[in-house]
Amino acid sequence: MGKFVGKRLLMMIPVVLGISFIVFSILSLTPGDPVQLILGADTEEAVLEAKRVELGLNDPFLVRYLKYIMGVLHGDLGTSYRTGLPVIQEIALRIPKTMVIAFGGIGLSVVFGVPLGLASAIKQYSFIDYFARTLALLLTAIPAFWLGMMLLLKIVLQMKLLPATGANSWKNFVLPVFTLAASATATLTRTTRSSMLEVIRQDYILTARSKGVPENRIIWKHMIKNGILPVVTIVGMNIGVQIGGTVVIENVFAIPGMGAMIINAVRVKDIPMTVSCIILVATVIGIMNLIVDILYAFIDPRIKSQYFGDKQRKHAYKRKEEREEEE
Amino acid sequence: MPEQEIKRRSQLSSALHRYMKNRLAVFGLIVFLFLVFMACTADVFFDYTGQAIAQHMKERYQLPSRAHLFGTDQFGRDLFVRIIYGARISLIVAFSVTAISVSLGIIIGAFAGYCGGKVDNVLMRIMDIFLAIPSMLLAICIVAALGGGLRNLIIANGISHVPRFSRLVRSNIMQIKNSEFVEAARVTGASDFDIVLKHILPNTIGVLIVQATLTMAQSILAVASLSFVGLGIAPPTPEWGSMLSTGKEFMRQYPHLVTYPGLAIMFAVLSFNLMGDGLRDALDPRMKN
Repeated sequence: MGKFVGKRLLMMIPVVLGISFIVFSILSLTPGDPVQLILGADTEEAVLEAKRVELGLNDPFLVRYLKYIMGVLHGDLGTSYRTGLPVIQEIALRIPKTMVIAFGGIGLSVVFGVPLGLASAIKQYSFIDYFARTLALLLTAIPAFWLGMMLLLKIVLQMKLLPATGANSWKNFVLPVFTLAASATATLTRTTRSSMLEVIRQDYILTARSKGVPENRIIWKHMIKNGILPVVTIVGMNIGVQIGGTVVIENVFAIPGMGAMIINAVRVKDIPMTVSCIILVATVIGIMNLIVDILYAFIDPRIKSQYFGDKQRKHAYKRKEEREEEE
Repeated sequence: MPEQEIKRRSQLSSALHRYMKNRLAVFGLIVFLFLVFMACTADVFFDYTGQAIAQHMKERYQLPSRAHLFGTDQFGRDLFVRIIYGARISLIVAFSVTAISVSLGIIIGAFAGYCGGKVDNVLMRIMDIFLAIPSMLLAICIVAALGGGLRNLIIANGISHVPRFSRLVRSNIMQIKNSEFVEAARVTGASDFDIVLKHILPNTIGVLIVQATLTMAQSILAVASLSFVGLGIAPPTPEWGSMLSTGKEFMRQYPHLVTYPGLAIMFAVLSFNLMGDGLRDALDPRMKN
């Protein structure tokens, strides 16, 4: 187990380095001078030049990248061009809000989507099935930010049930979380439904029914256990989409999270800020995907034996790989 | 080759038959055709600069009426006309983004899948890196670097969808490249290029069409979101996302400003999604659930 996790964590390093290099070069090698964007176009050339020297922008591209990435490897995310403050400080202030929304959205979508998909598969062609499918179709088509605006309009502005802006109480996070959960709920409902329908058609369900296993036990022990893997995969894949989605949703609800920070940073080409944010997001996504992979092992004993040193199994697996390579 | 022609046509017509039996898919197709028709003939019925761009301050904030079907906005412009012109932008975006990502995806995926080995490894590791950034964030970075505007939005979204297509093409090619008909083609002396282009790619076209339709839906959503946060198409160009963004200020008093553009996005995305689902069921009945 430890070996597997360690290997996966090591594999994340080149990916994160690659991401940082791509984003750093996209922002550095395109026209547009950060200093001019920050100080304004009609600032005197001498002032601009002094700022450039201060930020080290006159160094060649590769030198700047290496300096930055060496800092990151030593735990220093650099200094924001715009505010002059350490990037880590601002991120630490804002990241909790974004994560509350993102993970709240994921949690809520699991709570709604999985039971709905399950019910719609068990009672195929019933009212609940049509309801779930229609809802899923609509929720994938509605843009999240528009749904947010509509909720804001009805619940906050017209019915006055929740406070309008700010990010100090849990009440401010209710609508963003619901908004973000909407499209993920739709994907989860659809995945759960199709995966469960596939399981229902299997012979072992028929066998279980014919030997008189209670329906509840069939659902819990046979269907969910066999059909949940694709659902877990989709939850894992949704994490990235959700974090990307918060950027727009924070804008709708005026929540000062990472989304607003990334947009402000990217506008003035604040490279340390932008690249650090994206490195962080990618790391969070990578770790979550690792957790999903570990979850697989607890759900499916066949995968577990591949990961966690069942020696005989491993040996057989290795032999199979060797045979395949020979072919 | 006449026999092959006949067989292919019959497959196509049976797929068409299956599609037409799917009521939701037909609904999607009708909405799509309506959008295309409106986008193409907008100039016949309306005047772009006069009705969609020019400001008529006397007619501000009118509620929906017979003269202005969806009402007017904060500059007195007819919302219905602006939404019709917005359809034009959304459709251009959807098709060009998909064209970019499909063609780049095919090239990269075909190289990786067919060559295998080191080429495959290098190309797929690069794709993995792109896949590890949420596509929304990647698009934001590219737009910020290149600047806003229609062309750059298309490039940014096109690039952010390439990894998915290249993975799709690669996995399909790896499945097909060892099948007997490819071996037969190789034995008869077909070049690698011919094999990929004439024998392997046509066999992946079904999956690609389905994914392309869904990508169109996603790119409409993505462009609207980018314009909404101010990184896309700037006003006064009638883009749905930027209409929502400017309407947001006044939505408390005039909800119609934000209702109709949002509905337009929803119907456009819905139509592409329904068509994608319908095509998947029609082209590959095994995948139907």
